[in-house]
Amino acid sequence: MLFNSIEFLLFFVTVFILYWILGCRFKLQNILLLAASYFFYAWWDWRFLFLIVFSSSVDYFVGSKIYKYDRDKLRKWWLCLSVVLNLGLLFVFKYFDFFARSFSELMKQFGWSPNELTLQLILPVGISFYTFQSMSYTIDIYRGKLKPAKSAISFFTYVAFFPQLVAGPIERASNLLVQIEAPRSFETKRFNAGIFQILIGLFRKVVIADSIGIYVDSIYSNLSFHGTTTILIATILFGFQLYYDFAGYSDIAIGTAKLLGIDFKQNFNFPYFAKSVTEFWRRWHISLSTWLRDYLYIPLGGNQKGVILQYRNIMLTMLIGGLWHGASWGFVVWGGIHGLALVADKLHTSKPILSKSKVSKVLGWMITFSLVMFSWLFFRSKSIEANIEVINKLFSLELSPLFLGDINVFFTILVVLLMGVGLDFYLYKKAKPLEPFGAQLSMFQLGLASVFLVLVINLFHSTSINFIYFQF
Amino acid sequence: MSREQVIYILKVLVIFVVLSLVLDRLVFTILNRASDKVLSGQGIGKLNHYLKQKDSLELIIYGNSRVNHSLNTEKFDEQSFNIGVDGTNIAYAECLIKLLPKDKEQIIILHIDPEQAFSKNYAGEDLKKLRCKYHQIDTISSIINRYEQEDPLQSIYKSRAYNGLVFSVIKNYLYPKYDHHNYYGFDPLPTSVEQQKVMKKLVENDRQTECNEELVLNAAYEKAIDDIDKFCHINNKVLIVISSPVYRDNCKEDNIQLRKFLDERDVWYFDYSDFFRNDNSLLYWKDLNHLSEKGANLFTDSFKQDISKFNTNKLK
Repeated sequence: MLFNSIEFLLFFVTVFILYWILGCRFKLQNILLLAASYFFYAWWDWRFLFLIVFSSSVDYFVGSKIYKYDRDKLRKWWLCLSVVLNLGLLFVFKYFDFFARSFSELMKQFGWSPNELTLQLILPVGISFYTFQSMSYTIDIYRGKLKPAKSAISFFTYVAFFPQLVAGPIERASNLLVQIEAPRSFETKRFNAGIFQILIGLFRKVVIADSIGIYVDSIYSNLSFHGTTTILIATILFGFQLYYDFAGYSDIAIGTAKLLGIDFKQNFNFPYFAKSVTEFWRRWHISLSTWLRDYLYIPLGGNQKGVILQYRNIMLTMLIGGLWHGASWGFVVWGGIHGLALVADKLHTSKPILSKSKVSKVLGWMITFSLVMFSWLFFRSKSIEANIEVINKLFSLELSPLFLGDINVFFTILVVLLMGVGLDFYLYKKAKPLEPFGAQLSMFQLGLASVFLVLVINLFHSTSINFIYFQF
Repeated sequence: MSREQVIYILKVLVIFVVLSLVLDRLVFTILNRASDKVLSGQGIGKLNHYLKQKDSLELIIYGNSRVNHSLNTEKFDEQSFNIGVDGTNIAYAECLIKLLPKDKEQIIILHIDPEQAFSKNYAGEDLKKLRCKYHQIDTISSIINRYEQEDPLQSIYKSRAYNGLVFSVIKNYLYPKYDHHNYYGFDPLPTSVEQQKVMKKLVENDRQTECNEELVLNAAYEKAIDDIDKFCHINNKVLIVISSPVYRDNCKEDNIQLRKFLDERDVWYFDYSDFFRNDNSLLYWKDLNHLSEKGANLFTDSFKQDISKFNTNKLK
């Protein structure tokens, strides 16, 4: 069930009431959360419930084994089992067909036409998120940073916790599991913050992102008939669609968890104000970027083994990060672009060309913004041919007038985007993250803010239904 | 959770419910008052214009953008209006037809796209464009409910009726797009040199597509056509179904099946899909499915002659 559906509203209100009736009995609350989470997941596709239970069972068992043994060789063996099983599941469901097809295409270049052996499996919703989340548990136990979960219920709840199950944020056991294994208390400030963030998330998702989506879809479905100006604007707007879609979803997830007395980590920190690509990755999809840093980049050696290896590690991390988003070479190219940009950023930091003046900060922002927006086209156009077509169009300088399409839709996009960017800019300038913002509101202020946001959502929500990051 | 906290939540809920409903009704009332005066613009103005004059019209054209841009009502002798609206389908047309006065002689020209009539997925989604009148016109609300296209939250938050229409209402209220007294519903599509280049590309890229393997008339279409036909019979209307021209009709089987369906019901059907086949100048087209102003005027002249040859005492 989607977050912006009546089914979810009814579901969550029921869970919320039952949850707080149980009060301090957090173990019973966890049972409720687990049952609710599995119900939530089964609503998508009950067949894949077995997969998440299997993955959770393996990692719970492996975690206890890793913690139990002293010999590093044995501990490593159990860790490998967890990593191989989790990545194996991910590979089979998400990447097997992609690599099989790519192999077949490659062999055709050499005159051999192998039978295309594909499994054509449905991609289980959220698999990229919960496998990473589950793996971080066993890895952290191996590293001595974490003790195993006190009970299977609490661990299974950690993996399947419904607010973040299908599209993140990717939580760490050191944050989420610890809270699950402790009593939660209801606090009015956290309640206020949760409600406010949910409504902001809905505004970002169903008003801004979905409205932009109508325009972007109309342009990208008829690329050959539009000039450079239109495609450039559509590509930039797609960057905003992606941000508000994903950030909006994360807001709803974080706000929902708050209402249950649980705090998630921030997942977006106004990334489009970043003045370098390095800064961008500290602000965009923070839960994924920190996961890749801690479990891929650093184990590869990070920046500890010399400059060349550091650059290699950056490239590998970003290429794999790109592939995580989807089984397509476009995502790999996207990752590669960011990898190269990060390497260039490191080079520049070590030998800066520009001084740290205001002008250079503005220039840095412009370059970062342009690069990030350009790279998003590899997210939008799924095939290499479509990507090449877009790039050709962008650089052909066919400066025909901007295609507005439905003027009503376009004007709505401008207005709501201005509202969204305005809010982001205000919070960014005040250095106030959105997450705790609602906590400072009084009861009446919260009521007023909610009324205004609901009115805006009622008048301007788009009827298209897409959560872009669900495909990952 | 303590008693104070429960009371806190309830207080927030009460403040929210009361204020949101009050604000919702206020905004809904203001938008209603403003939109009732809007008689221009595709968002709501054209619909209001139709509702205002439907009882006095003699010939009315219903359908989607294809017919909106292809039949020039100024050329008809009868008092006419073209209520073709972009992105609409048969359910929208059915709704508007059923608002016509009973017993008054009127000619109904209903455009049907054969490809859409045989689509599997259509279920009346175009009725969302009539949600702005859900609380005002019973016929509209009952048809929307019948097609299950109602917005479940609209009964609580009435302002949702104006979702996506706010700027259109404000803009056309303050600065009407055109003088509605001189507007008869037809929206011509002038073409430019740039447009001609685009059209040429469209033609080059157009691929021959085969008909769907199994052609089954969409259930919503079947019911709607039957209902419209019945309404017209009872209320002294002449129903003429047409399919307006397309640049290249790649599948003929759906046209044949549609004709068969309509013939079984004694409904007149004019299939103009291949109208320009023998003279398919690019100047007649805006794109593969829409005529340019030049093409529309040519088509209208011919169509007018066709319907005047009808052997019926109901047409002038």
